[in-house]
Amino acid sequence: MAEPRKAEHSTPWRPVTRWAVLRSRAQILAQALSRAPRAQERPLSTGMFGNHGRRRSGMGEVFWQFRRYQQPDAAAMIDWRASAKSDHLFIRQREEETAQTYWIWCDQSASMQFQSHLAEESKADRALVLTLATALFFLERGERVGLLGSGRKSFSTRAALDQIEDVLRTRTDVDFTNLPIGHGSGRIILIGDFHEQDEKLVHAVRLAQRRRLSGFLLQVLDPAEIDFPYDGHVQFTDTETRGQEDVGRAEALRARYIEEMDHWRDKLSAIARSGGWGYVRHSTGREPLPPLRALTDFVATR
Amino acid sequence: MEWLSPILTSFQAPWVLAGLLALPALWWLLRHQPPRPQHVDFPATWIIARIQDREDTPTTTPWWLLALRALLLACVIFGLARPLLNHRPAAAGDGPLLLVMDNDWTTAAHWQDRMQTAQALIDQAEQRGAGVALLVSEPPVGQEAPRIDLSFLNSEAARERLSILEPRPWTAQRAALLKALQQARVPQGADVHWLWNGVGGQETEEIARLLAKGNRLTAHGPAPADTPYAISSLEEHGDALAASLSRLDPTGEAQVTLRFSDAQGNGIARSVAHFADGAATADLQMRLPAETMGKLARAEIVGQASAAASYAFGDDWRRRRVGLVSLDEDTDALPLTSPIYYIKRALAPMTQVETGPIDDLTDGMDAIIVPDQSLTPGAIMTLTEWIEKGGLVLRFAGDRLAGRPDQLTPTDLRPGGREMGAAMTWDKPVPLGAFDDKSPFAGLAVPEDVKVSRQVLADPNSLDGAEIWAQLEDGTPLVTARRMGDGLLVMLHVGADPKYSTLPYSGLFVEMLERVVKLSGRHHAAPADIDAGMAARRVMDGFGRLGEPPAGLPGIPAGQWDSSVPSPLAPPGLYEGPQGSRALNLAGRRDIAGGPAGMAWPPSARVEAIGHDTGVNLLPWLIAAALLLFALDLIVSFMRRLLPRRAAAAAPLAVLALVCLTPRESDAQSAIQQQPLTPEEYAIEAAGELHLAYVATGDPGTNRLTERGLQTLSNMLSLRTSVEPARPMAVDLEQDDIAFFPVLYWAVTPPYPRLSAPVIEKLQRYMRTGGLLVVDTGDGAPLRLSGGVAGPAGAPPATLADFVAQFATQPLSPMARDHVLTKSFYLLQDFPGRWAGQTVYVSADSNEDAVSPIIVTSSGWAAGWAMSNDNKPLVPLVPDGPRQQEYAWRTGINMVMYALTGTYKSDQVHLPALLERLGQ
Repeated sequence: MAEPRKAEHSTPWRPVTRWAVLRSRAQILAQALSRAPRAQERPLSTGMFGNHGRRRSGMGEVFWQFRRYQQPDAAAMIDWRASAKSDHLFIRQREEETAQTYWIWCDQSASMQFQSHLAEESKADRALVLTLATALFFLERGERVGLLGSGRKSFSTRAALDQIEDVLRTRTDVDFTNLPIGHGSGRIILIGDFHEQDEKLVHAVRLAQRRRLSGFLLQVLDPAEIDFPYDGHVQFTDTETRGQEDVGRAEALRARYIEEMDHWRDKLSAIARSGGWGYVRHSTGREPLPPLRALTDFVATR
Repeated sequence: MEWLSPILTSFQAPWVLAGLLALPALWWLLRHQPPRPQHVDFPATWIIARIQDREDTPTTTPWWLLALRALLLACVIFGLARPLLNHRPAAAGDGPLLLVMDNDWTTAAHWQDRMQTAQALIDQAEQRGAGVALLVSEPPVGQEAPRIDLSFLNSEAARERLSILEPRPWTAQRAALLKALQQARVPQGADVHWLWNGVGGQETEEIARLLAKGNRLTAHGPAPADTPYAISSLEEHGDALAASLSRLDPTGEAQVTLRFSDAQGNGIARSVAHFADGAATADLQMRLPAETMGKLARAEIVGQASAAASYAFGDDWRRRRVGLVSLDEDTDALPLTSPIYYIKRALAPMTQVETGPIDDLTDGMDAIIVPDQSLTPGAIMTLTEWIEKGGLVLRFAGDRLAGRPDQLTPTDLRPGGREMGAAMTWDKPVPLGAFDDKSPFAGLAVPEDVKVSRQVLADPNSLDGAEIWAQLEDGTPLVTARRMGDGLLVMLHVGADPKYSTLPYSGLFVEMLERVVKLSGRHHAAPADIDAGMAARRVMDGFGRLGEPPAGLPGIPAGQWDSSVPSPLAPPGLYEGPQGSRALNLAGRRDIAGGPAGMAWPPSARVEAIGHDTGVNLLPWLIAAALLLFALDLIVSFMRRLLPRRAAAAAPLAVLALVCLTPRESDAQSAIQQQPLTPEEYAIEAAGELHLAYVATGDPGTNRLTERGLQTLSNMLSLRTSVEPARPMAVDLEQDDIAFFPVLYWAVTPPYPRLSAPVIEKLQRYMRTGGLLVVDTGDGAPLRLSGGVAGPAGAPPATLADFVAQFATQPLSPMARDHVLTKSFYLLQDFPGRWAGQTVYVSADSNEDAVSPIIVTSSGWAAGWAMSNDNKPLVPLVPDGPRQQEYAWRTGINMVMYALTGTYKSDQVHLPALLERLGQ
């Protein structure tokens, strides 16, 4: 019971059903997120999402300016009504509109596969549901979503979900410090357990700050990792390094463990704050909706 | 093991208890071998590594696990020491041992217990170095009186004598023993142990006094539960066997099974008798068809291997003896024209036929057949006298009788006779008419090809007082009969040869003769002319097994058969005489076991029960306890790995509680079965799938057999057809809705139930709306369905016809040869069940085109279908066995197909025409 159930990535057919389940759960979660009343009774300004005017001419819906016709312009671009008012030919230019891009990173490494008897699913599954729900939420509001560190481009359609599935189904080593090269604003959302990744996080936050990207840390932990519900003689094996720790009386260690865990949380919170990021710790033993709302609230207000 | 005596336990292998010394070693071993740690894969191990201070606390096995394992081992060790609870070894005396062994038939059933007790007594005598004398109550077969040798032997020789001892198949010969004992010198100062048979009596008391004089007498009698059972009578009443069983000690209720088998030892029938508390006898009755009755070779009480519980049937039982009056002319020359030939052929399978002059036959015959013959006045007088004493005479007409009629006929005869279809007559040969219901031939089918061309006519004026059993289609009497005194005179108005009719060629002739001979009473009076006496052919031993007789057995002298009682010189068994074999049985004698005569023991005697002082063997209990503890240990060890420590400590208690509280599976199952279905559940189950249904009768045995039969039929249907019925369902006609079932099988047995108005209404609606009701009497008897009246409410219907008339809305008739039932799946001509060859009745109009809503049979279809779990017929099939069962299944499949498809298959008759029209 206490042994983590290994999610199976290797069998050819299993992930299909698993992913289908995860996606439908994410769908439900995303709907709940948009529907549910907000904690602070503060309606989320719909203007915060969708296309954002770039204050320059380009592809878009909204009128920007009339400009004198110049040689390389296509004749079809001439606005004849405006041109009729004077002797010059004018063409109608629209304001350039681009969507905000949300770069999401989801940890699928070995430690994420952990599931204790206190949780109903592994951290990896929960992280994926959160990732997909976040992606859906933003896509529905016309934003672009991309998988951080995958080296692929972002999408404004559901293709983003397919891409996330495509990448995460096979790769567990996606690196979040590999920030996207690109223009414009964006947000970075990191979902994972962040075990022994403090330095990398500091590095990533600093990089993002330089690029004027803000972000959010969503830490997903198993209840057993938070509460340490072990007794008696237990041999612990690290899921990443396979290093072993033999504990004679685990119950004696519990208080110190919890203390250390709180300490770590404070540290991660500090790292996030240093770059103006948000941070939430989420236990897989609890509902996934509150942390998701915290996430969307946070990134929407920045 | 003196220190254990307060709890009345003794050990048969006490040295094993030394193994208890190993327990501390186990304790030490377990304490220092810590249990394996729990293994956890944990992502936050890096945090543990940071805070872990390296103090590995030594872990130990908890004390309760240690105690559990020590207890386990202790159980095994105590078990191997083979303890006996409440074991009281028989008080050992100090003198030499005089062992008195009763070995009459009553001792056979629990012979092993007696031998063990005797062995134990000899063992004790051996231990104290005393000699052993053996006194055996019954002599060997062929020796008149017991030979008494009371000299003391060493234990080895005594054991040897004991080992060849066997129970004898007769009642204790106390007089002979007493006489022999009075002549012998009974030793003094001995320890006398009498393994007594439990039967008292004056002579037995005398023997006890003789043995107790100057000795310490201990009697070991049978415990009440071990009382022997015997067959005290076995008789044939018509087509039923009536048996009476008895036992020596009438205390307690008991249930014993009487099993009948044929010469090969195959079971034919079994029946159960119930002894009420305090009743020494119990009766049972069983109907068997004549054919089966003829096969009986042995009856025995199941589980009672003794001569009084085993009944052998001799030839005299099997066949009626029929005398055939010989004709004065030589008939061997042209056998096919001789009436004797046909009569002999017809009677041979059922009866023992002897030919001779009339005077020889009146002694010992059950029936006398007189072929065409004009009797002399002397012969008429002899026969009349014989008939009036209960005999049966069957006469055949013929040329001679027609030429010179005599007085011994049921009716006066017209001289000359009647001839039809010959060259000079106008008439054609006349077929037989149907048999009247009151005739003994009722139910026999009349073949169309039987035609009578000549006849000796009865004078119509003399029919008064005579019975007409059969007549021709034109109403002329064919068989007439007249009762005379206790007997019967029957006359067949045709000859037994083909000159008169084609009757002798037909099977009907055999059946008619069979029926007539069956009417004869039984005359067991032995023929007086057994001069040679009877010689033993097979002899029964004390356990009821038949074997070769020992050499030099005198046999039973002439004239003493009827008075002979099984004894050392005439043991029970089969005896051969000039009249065939007869059985001498210990079983079947009224006086065999009429309850124990009181026994007054001498005051100094001690009385104990045999076979009930060995104590309770604790070995299986202790081993079971050890296994349980082992299982507990496994579970606990396993749970300790998975659960936190505190929960694991509670685990053994939880498991123990679980073991104690879990109801046994059988209880749970029976609880489920007893749960009655609500009407809704019943309807859901019945309508959900196709079920074959049967009417639950009051007899659980019949219900079980029917259910088993329908289950087997369901399996066969699933195997062979596209009909795949679910399990058969029992139906209570009063309560349950029967509309769900295409077939409702009703095994009715007399007394036939009187149905209430709602039930009749329900049945009639069922039949009207397409259900098929199958009524099966299951007794293999010919059906008589005409003339039934619905009768008043209250009184149960007397006959099957009355019973069926309650709900049948259409007239019933025998099934036509081309009825749809003969081709609804298999092509069938016969519809056997347990019995073969019975007529099947369907509604009359279904022989045309309609679908019959009812089938009435007596073949015992369900019994014929039923198979046990090891694929053997549950009841023996008569006459055929496996082949018949195959046809029984086919019958059943046709029946279900008929219920499901109606007359669909009869369309096939147009197939040739259709094919022709299609130009094929």
